[in-house]
Amino acid sequence: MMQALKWAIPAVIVAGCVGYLIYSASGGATEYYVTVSQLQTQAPSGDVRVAGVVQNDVQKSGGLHVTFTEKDGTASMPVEYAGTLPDIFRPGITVVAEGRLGSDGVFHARTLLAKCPSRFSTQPYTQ
Amino acid sequence: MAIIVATLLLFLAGPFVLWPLIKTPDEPLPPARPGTSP
Amino acid sequence: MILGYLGAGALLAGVVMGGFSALLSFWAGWRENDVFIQVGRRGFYAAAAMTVIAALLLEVALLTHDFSLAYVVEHTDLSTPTPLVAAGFYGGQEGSLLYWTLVLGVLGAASLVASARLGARISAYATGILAAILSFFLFVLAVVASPFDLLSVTPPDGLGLNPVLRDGGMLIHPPVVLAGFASFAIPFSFACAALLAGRADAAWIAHTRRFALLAWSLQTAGLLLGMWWAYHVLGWGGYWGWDPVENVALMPWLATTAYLHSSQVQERRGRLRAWNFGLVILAFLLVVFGTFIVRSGVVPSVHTFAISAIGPWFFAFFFACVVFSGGLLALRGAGLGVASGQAPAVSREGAFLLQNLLLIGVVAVVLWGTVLPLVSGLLGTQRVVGAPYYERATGPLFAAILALMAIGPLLPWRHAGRPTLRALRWPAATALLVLAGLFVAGVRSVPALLAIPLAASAGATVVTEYGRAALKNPAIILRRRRRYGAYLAHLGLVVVVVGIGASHFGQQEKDVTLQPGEGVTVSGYTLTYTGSQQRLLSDHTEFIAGMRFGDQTLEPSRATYATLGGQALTHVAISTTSVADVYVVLAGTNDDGSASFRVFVNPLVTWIWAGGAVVILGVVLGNVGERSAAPELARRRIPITLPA
Repeated sequence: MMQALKWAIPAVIVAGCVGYLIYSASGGATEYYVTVSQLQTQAPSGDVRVAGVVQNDVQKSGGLHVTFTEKDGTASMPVEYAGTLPDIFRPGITVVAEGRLGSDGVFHARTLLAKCPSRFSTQPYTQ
Repeated sequence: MAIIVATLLLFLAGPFVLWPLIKTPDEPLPPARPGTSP
Repeated sequence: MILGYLGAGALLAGVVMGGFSALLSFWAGWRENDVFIQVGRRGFYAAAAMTVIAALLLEVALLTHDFSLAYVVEHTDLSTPTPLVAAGFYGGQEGSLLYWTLVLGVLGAASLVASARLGARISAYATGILAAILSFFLFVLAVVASPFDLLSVTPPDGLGLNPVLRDGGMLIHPPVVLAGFASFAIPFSFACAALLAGRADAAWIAHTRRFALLAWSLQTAGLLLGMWWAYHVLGWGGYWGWDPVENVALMPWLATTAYLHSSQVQERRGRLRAWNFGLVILAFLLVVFGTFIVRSGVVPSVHTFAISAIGPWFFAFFFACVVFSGGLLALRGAGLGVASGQAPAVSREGAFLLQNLLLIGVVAVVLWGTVLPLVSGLLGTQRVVGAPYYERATGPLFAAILALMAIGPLLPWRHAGRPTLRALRWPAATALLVLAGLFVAGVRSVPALLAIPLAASAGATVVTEYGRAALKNPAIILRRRRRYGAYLAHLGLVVVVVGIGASHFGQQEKDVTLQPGEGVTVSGYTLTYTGSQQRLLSDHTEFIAGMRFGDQTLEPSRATYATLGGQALTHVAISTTSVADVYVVLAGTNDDGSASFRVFVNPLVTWIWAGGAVVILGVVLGNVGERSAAPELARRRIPITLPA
């Protein structure tokens, strides 16, 4: 009995700490991961991550500043981002923008992630 | 076609895999001592 | 075309042979029929041979540019350099699965060769489990995702590799990581076999220790190589993004780290048996789960994986593995908890137990973050967490683990007393000194102030141990290679932690647009933009910028591939010293002649790579050529048979 207790007490303490850490760390750091249409209709608060396809209207200005339209099948929205573009960035690829939808309807992205070119082919060869 | 290849390979592997069954039996082993094999 | 049929045939033969081996081995093990146990084992060898044949055929198809195979077309073309063509073997979904299976077959066979001395039953059951896993993979390869699928019309050329992937990192990182994943299957199989056979002793641990070490080493190297590749090639200034693919490689590593330490308690004291079984099983389950997550597309990741047909199969396999191993633990677990004697709390054993708890805690944190999108998506709006979550939640746990690394080796197996307290003054003093030094140097980041002194104290413990041995009798170091090799690995890890602490929390970054002649200063380093050149090549246009830095000129470049819709490829320019990396990315060139850069100063990055090498060195020096006297020793010590 003593043996089991000696074992159980540290386990419970550590488990409690871990649970607390997960809870407190998630609180501020969780973001919603939405599609463009979801973002426009539901407007979740705080920073969100939006996935969409880059359209053909990429415009770069003033060095590290770019605007483009992101679309997810139905809805589209303009995105504004200042920073280094991922290598693979070009019209037609899927990007994940992290940031906030401004009142002007433009999404101000803090970070921009593009999906790595697939090691596992996204386009099986069709003839 | 692949099935033909597979069957061929299995036939080739057969003797190797079944060798313990096919070979002439070894000398009978001394009776096992208790506690050596669970 | 022939190669396609031969390969498909080999895979099919492998499935049949593997299935045969599995069924026969389980039956023969149950019946303890020695002849059929041997037949079953040979069946595994034959299935492994079929896998080798299939692998060779695929490699030949790639190297001969056999474009009748869809896989060859999708991952190579005539202009791809030969090493990358060869690497195409593991570069795609189907090929990487075959590579996984190949490693499993070869290592599995190696582990079975000497397994008979563990006892007929364990050996048979281990064969059965390994054969079952092998058969599953071969089945998926033969039926669901075959690398040998043929095209009805052979195209004249392939699609080739995306420019971003045309790099040495692609050659070495995937095969190491994949081999690491595959090798986790061996300890798992033997652990489950032991449970099935009703054996709770440590014989299986001694037998599989080598494979667990190999799996751990491969995973360590794989993680570091991945970090190195991300840092040098991908150009975002960092090396770890807590992406699902990365997390999935990290979690089994953590579980195996715990196991490698905790297994010592079982070997010496016969305790923590349930933990060891649990950790080994957990590591493999995490690998299978991770493979499912990463190849099914269910969790958003920076690494694109097409939502593929193999997802559901891997989920089913994962489920089967959980039921099988979980059921075994539940049924046999009751007998495992029985320990002989009392374990003192403040002792090396207590430290190992605490280490287990902490490392599992980290696994829980990382797992939760990784599956949150999946779980939340099922219940409502999908949510994700980013680096801040992982850092905040794992940070304190890692700090505690570092403290354990400093204290643990100094604790005796029996109850710790005054001598221990005296020995602890060295690490304690080191920690305080380093903390003071950092503070004076202006470091204010709390995580860095925590991590680096603790890491330094762990390093001090290693040095103290080596010093004590050297003073008493240096021959001890050679005689107890396992321990001192492990200490060296600890030291390497310490160096890695310091490198990560400094480069992550001490990173300076600046975005700047410069005209030729203008300069920028980051963290005391001054760079001057000297102008750029443009080169026009067949499939891309390249801009090369010159950045003068001291007496060297860094040349970050940016290539644009018109044929690929304007996709870019940045070539990062890095100036490396042991103190810091000056890391320059050319973000773009502008019409007015200016160029935009992102400049990073990353302190102590080289310590990460150097430390990693020391870790591997420590493992190798401590274990290569080491005789495994252990199986007999372990078997003699606590030969408890579990209630059936």
